[in-house]
Amino acid sequence: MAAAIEITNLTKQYPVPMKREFVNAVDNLTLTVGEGEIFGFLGANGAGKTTTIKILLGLIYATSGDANVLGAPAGDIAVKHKISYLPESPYFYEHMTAREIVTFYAQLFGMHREEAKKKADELVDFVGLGGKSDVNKPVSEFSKGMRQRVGIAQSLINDPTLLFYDEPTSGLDAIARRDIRDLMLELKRQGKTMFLSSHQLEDVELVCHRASIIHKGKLQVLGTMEELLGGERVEIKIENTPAELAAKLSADGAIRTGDVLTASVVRGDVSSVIDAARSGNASVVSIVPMKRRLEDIFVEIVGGRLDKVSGSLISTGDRPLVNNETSSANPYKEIAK
Amino acid sequence: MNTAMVIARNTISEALRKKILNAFLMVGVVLIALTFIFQQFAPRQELTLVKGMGLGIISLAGLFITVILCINLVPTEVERRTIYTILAKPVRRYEFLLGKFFGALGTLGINIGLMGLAFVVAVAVKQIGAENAVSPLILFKGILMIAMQMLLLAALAMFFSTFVTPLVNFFLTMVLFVIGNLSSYTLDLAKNSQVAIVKYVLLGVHYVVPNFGNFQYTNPLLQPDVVVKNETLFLTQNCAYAVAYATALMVLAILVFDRREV
Repeated sequence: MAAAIEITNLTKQYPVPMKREFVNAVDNLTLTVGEGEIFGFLGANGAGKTTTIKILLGLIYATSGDANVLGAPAGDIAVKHKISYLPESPYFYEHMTAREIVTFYAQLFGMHREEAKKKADELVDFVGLGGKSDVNKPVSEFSKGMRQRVGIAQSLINDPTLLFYDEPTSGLDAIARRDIRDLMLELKRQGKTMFLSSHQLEDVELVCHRASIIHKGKLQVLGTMEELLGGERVEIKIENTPAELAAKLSADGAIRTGDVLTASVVRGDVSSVIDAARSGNASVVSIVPMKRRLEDIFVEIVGGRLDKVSGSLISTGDRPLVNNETSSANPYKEIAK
Repeated sequence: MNTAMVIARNTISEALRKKILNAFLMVGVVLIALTFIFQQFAPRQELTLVKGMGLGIISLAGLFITVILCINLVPTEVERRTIYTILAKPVRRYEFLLGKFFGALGTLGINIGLMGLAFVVAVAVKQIGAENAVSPLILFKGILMIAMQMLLLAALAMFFSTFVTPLVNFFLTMVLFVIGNLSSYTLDLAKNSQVAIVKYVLLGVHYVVPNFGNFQYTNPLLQPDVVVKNETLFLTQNCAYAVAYATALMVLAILVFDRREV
């Protein structure tokens, strides 16, 4: 798979006001995103996600390191014909309608006015803003969800190969969030490449092929969703468990409910437990891999607080990593390697 | 260049909706209309007053419209983050900046044009039945000079807007406008100065700061005895000066903006 994005040792430093010091917004970041891949880029507020995206778009410049997008240096004008960007909480010219905005952006791709208008009509309808009540409204009267839809419409003007979406579902109600998630799934089905920065970990779990977590500009974990969420343990339910096996599993925390013993065993021990159960004429009721949630990994790595209602990260402040940066303390580091 | 024009059109449409700019335009037009209240003077004095006040009002309203518009064009785009979605498209930074500048010029053209039209109509009405009435169209020469002055001022404000905050830009542009209007005095002071360092500083100010005073064309329009030797040359030179200086400022602005992080 060819690389759509290649980031090598990328560092971005900002001076600390009133001090002769610099802070690393992005710190020696290296990662690759393949073509056709939906890549989740996670991190707490201020972790360096938006800074990285801005560097990839050529809006700001890296202090050191390389960033290539579709085989060209970040910010290349020819490449910008093939990419699109949806910023976090997009702001548009307030006096314009959704159609006027999309027409304006379409003209920036060199489309003639009539062609741009036609494209705008299609896209505004596609994102669900083509209704009579919305079509003549200026954006100043739009809700956050509607603005986000306009943002998505403008991001699809050029039928992009690569999309940069920064918090596309942030602050949306459940219905708008589901709609936008469905749209991302549709883009995934179409084989688009997407660099998705999000706090909505459930969305990332559902949409992304691979994901990474950065904290204070540093890459903490990188892997496929299977690698990240697959888990090391399996839940086994056994009926009429032989006494010897039951004693062993109970010592490891197994719980008995009637005749059924529910045990959590390490993936590598599953076969031996099943063999022991069968040899004792017990019946194995179920074997279920215990999947982790991205939220668990996120909290373990970033040490943040999550809003239990929305599932989004509230703030991590300057809390240190729960696990120090040694690989032994952070089991997920292994995946990154 | 097509991209710059798309941005320019959008800038004009947005600027024309700004209430503060429209307020200046309305004040300008209303003040020109109010010049009719001066009925106590002799007709010739009255006409001179109308012409003088009209040009002054256009100049003053133009000044505020230009400064307020141009100091905010780029910073507002950055502050409200509309620039992200624009520069993420195949738009070069110079196209964005030129689009904003041309949009500002278009807006100024419309504003000064409307005030100028009101002024010319006012003078034409005032001259009805007057002896030795002069074609009010010659007043457009004065309006052209004001427009050229504002073009130069717009370029100056745009240049500063690429690296200073709007507040600093406001004071910087206004101060340079005042100094530039006193360019003939700074030259005289430099010539008469006995202290070498003061002489060179004043000469530096005279040659570096745009000579906004060059565009004064009120006297020849108000007083028939003031004659410009070669009017065509005067007007052409001033137009060329404004365009050349504004071009230089915009080149500098592009160079600064090209490396700026947004």
